[in-house]
Amino acid sequence: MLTIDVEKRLPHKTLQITCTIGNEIIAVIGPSGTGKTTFLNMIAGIVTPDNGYIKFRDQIFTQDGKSSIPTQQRKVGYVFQDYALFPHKTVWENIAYSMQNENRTQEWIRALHMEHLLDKYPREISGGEKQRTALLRAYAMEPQILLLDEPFSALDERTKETSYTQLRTLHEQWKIPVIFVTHNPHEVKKIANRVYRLEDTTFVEEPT
Amino acid sequence: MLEQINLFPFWLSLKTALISTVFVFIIGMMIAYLVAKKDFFGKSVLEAIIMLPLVLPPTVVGFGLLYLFGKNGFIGKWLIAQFDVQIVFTWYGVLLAAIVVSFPLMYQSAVAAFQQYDRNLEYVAYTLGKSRWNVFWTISFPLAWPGLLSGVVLAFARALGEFGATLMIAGYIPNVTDTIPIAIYFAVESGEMDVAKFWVATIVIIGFIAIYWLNWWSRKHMMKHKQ
Repeated sequence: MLTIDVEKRLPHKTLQITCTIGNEIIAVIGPSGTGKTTFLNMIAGIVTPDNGYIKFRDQIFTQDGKSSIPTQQRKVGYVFQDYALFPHKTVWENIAYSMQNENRTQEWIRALHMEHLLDKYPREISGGEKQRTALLRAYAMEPQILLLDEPFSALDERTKETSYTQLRTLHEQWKIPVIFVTHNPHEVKKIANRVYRLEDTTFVEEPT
Repeated sequence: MLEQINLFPFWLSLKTALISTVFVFIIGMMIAYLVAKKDFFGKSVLEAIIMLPLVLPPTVVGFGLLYLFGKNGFIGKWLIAQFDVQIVFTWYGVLLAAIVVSFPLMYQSAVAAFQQYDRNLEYVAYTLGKSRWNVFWTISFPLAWPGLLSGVVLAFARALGEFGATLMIAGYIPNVTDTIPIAIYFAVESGEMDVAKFWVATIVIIGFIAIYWLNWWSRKHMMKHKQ
């Protein structure tokens, strides 16, 4: 169970978020600039909340403005909005950077039709291929929490459907909290168990 | 005349430039990484002090070094008392002057190098479970390397060509502290123009090779690191 009750002062407002997330897929929607990425960054440990706590199972990630467990030890898989692929490493080197099991990783590569791209560098592949590489890199570490910041926006329809299916399959196997930020209502319907909307000063659950 | 040229200045300049470049590379890179990634109290003051030798005349830098490291200087006295090491009028003075004047060039290049790539690349590496040390060597350093290399070449060239501060703190002692720039000056002073031309040509060739190679390498390898 991921329990979050945090406050973070931003330049234009104070972000306050309270929620509990089980081993389910949560969608976070809302206008741009409301703090959705900051929310994900706090769970990952890249940003520390000013007040409150984030707990996962029996671990306290942060409490009272201090990080108790550093980012490196949280085992949070994170797909950034701009992919953040390492430009000096090939697609394979990116995916394998923190790989836990090569056989499983190779299966996911085949499922997403990435075999022919493994020797290429990020500058040589398309936006959709970069997005798939970022997804595979996060999957390959076999995280205990998965955070996805608009993970499917650059994919074509066919690849999106494959990715939705793959995410659901992985989620059934791993049984971990998955939080993804999206502007696509179709994705919400396809994948999410629950939906939260982050607007100006509110973070509320919406009916699915 | 040229057959009789003492090559000591060449070896002294080369030795000094190489050792000072290694020193400023390691220390400059460490400080630059810290400054590029963190905000802390006194950061602006620290940066101003580091960059000061770049804007001051070399003779002013030399005077400062003499004041601190001279036989009666605060640090100089301590070094003699504790380690029996004298800085003024020795090779140590030559090395110190080279380090002080070349450090700002390495530092400035290194800060720019560490700031030019997206910080998310380091953050994502942390989320993938890598330690700070591992992330530095696998992500930060390779991405910053083109800029760091530029700093290394500039620092080397500056150390090689250092004159004013070196003359102030190390003086002109043949076969002890006569670097190529000092050898040029005193060769001209004593009318030995052929000797002066020889050393001028030597240092121009070394500088040209260094800059040409850096430009060639940058063009060839820079694209590999661009997203």
